Amino acid sequence: MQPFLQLTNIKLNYHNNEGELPALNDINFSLKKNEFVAIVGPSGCGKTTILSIISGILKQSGGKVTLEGEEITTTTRKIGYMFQKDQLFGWRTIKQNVNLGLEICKDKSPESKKFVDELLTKYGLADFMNKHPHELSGGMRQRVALIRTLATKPKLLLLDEPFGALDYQTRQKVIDDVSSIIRNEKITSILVTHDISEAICMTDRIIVLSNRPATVRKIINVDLDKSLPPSKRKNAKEFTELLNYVWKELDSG
Amino acid sequence: MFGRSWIVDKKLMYSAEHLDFLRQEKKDRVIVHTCQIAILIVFLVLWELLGYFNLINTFIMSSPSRILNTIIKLYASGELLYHSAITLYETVLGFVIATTLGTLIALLLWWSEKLRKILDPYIVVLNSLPKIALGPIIIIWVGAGIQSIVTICVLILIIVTIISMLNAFRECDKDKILLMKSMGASTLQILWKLVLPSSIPNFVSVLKINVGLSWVGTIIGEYLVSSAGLGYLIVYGSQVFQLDLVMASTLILCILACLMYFLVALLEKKVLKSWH
Repeated sequence: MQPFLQLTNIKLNYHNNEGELPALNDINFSLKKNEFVAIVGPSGCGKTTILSIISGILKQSGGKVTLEGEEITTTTRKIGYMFQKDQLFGWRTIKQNVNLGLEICKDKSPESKKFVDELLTKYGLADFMNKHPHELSGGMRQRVALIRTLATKPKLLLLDEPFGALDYQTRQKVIDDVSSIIRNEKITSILVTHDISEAICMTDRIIVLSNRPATVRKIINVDLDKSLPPSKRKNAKEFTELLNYVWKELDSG
Repeated sequence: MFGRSWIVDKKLMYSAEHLDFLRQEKKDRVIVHTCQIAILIVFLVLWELLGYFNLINTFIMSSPSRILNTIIKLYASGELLYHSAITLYETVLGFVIATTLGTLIALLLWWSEKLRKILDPYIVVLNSLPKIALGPIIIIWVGAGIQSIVTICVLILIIVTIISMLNAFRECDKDKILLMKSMGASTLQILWKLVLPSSIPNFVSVLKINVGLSWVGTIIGEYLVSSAGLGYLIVYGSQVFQLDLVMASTLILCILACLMYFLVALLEKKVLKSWH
């Protein structure tokens, strides 16, 4: 069976006047449908770059990305991208913010509108639809950002350190929130993070990258009870073992 | 968080300490306003008295009562309205043309990075050039009259407008642009849904700067070439040594400029209320 997402020999070089800098060197990995995978690696190794290439924002120097067998050459509605900061537009209400994606792909169908309303209601934002982002807490804003990404019904979700900007307490709550939303909506997802414990307690597999130019150093399976919310998975005794293991892998590279 | 409604709701529950604080605040406000008005009154009375007792030469220094009389006379003869209207017309025209054209050019330069790079040195040079130096050339090229006054006004405003608006467009959050790109947005959609709305606060502050500058542009233009307008009255008054006329025209100019600034400030308050 063909994988849901496949990266084959992805290369990327940065160019400037001083010369050429290889950032990614033969990145290969694949995702099954409904899988949740984390990418961790030393800072500056090109984690975000991989997401940009998958999303079609950035053109790779070599290799190819296929989603359900189709090669990705440009941005597509099938892929949703969520950033570190919520990036909500301050002049739009929550509802207008969430509808941004649909506006861009000129989707005015009543089904899509209904889907967004349902999402807002399901995830406790119905009462805030007509509020502006500054009236919401950081955690809620991040939830709005996720719903904005989900509004166009993407098949693949890219999360670029989406919890990095939140304070510790909010973060635990939002991680549980986002995790349950992703499981509920059954979306294949990739999480880029520098927080290893976050990666372990949220995902099914962890891809460890090496230093620049980045290659895939190791892919680690996470065997924790997926029915538990991330904050509870931390209590499992395998958690610490995994944490040490991933740390060691990162350190050696 | 502490919206106005919150304060009103809790008013009955204020502590004595808080009431004291409010009283003190109010007292400070009253003192500030009283002093502001007192300074003006003292200045005017002193000026009038010095002239009345011949301690200053009112032929050169004029006096509040003489200025007031001149304004009444100008009003009665219809000249006040005529000259004010002409200057106001030139100013508003210059303001509107320069702001619109400048913003459009800034948009073009935002759209094409290459064009911006090509034109960059020209904009820098034009910005540092004292535009008033072009006055004589403009008069010869577009002809003496309102058209050259408006042109001078536009020239003074437009470069600043282009530079400020271009900066505002370029300062737009890169991650937000990336977000829109990841959603498959076209450049036009990025412009329309993100760059323009996020630049509105900058646009309003450009408007505020331009209101002040457009009066500078118009008056300079009128000094150089005019047969009517408040700038003309000022120049004419000084040439025939009628300082009352000069002072009266300056005062009217002051009032008009304040009114226009006030209008823009009002607009700012309205627009920025829903902006965060």
